[in-house]
Amino acid sequence: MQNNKRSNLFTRIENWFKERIDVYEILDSFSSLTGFLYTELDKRLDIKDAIEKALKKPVPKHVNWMFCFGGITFLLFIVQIGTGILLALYYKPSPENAYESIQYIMNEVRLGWLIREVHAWSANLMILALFFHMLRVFFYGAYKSPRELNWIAGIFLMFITLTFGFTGYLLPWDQLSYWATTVGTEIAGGIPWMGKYILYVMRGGENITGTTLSRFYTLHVIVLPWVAAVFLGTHFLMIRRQGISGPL
Amino acid sequence: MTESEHKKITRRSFLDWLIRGSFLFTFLAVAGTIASYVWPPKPSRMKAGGGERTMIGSTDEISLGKGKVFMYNNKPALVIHTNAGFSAISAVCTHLGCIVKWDESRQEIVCPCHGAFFDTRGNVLTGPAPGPLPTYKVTVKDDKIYVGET
Repeated sequence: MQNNKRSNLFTRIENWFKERIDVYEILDSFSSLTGFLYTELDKRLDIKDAIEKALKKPVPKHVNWMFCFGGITFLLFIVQIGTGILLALYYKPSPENAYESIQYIMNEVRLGWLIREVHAWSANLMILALFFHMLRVFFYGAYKSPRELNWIAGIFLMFITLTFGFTGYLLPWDQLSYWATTVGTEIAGGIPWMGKYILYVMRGGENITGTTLSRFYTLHVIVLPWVAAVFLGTHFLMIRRQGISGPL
Repeated sequence: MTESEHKKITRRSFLDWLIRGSFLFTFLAVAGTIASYVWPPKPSRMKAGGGERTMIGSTDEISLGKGKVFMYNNKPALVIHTNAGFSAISAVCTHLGCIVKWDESRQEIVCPCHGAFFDTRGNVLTGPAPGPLPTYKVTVKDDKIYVGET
């Protein structure tokens, strides 16, 4: 009896809506992403076949979980974009304000600590996933002809990711980042003959100052994301063109 | 409620809605997190100086030559009683942010972490501290000690 009463209530709510709007028609076209893509958008853009071909491309039998690391790296990159944009809303890239703005994010902004920690953790995990991906590609011999260019694009992506990490490390502007950048730029300065010029350009002067912070920030939030996007695009296009490499 | 209406919810449609519900839940959790992050936080109470006037105790709690750590604007501060009267000084060491202590025998402020010493007005006497401790205005009224501007 209890159940029956409740059912009646739901029926009444349902009817209340039905009298006013055609709920089911809206739900049918928007109830799922495929529903929307295959009906409303397809009517206008004729994209159904293209989507089907992309989504239903068969995966070869020999593909196992080790082939996931590239995708994991890309997922973490997406996370970095999302959390990075959020951090940029409150971060202030100047020697006077950088450290304080991080304290503000950690202590005052709602869930700011979460966003910053997710950014820091997925940065580290991204490098881990990247190296597992590289190991998989290496030991499967997937870098061999005709995929040499994709290996090279991947190497560029590795250096881009490491530069992301190196530039992002300075941004908190605390002792750890200051000395890490001092050491890091000095390593670059150790390159024979041209090292001192590289160091001078990296630091924007003799020492690590506000200029260095501005440079690293620009690289971290403007230059590297776009360069990475271009290389990721070519990386993925080449996979589509050449297919996944064969079994061992 | 008839029998046929009951059959509207099939196992398939139930699972369908379960999946949609979990997608919606995930979406709302992420959107909620972002929305609460983007919404500007309340004006800070943590900023140093110019805070509200706070009553931190009565005069007989801190006899001559003694000091006490209390919270002022959510940050530790030190009130000391010397021959010059009561004075209030930030208790956050300017070196690395440790909480400084009042050394009764030396009548000086000392940081237990790296041995910075400050005089009763917060000026650095010795040690690694790069600058003086900020001081706050103290008023005594009806045997009560108040810190901060009115």
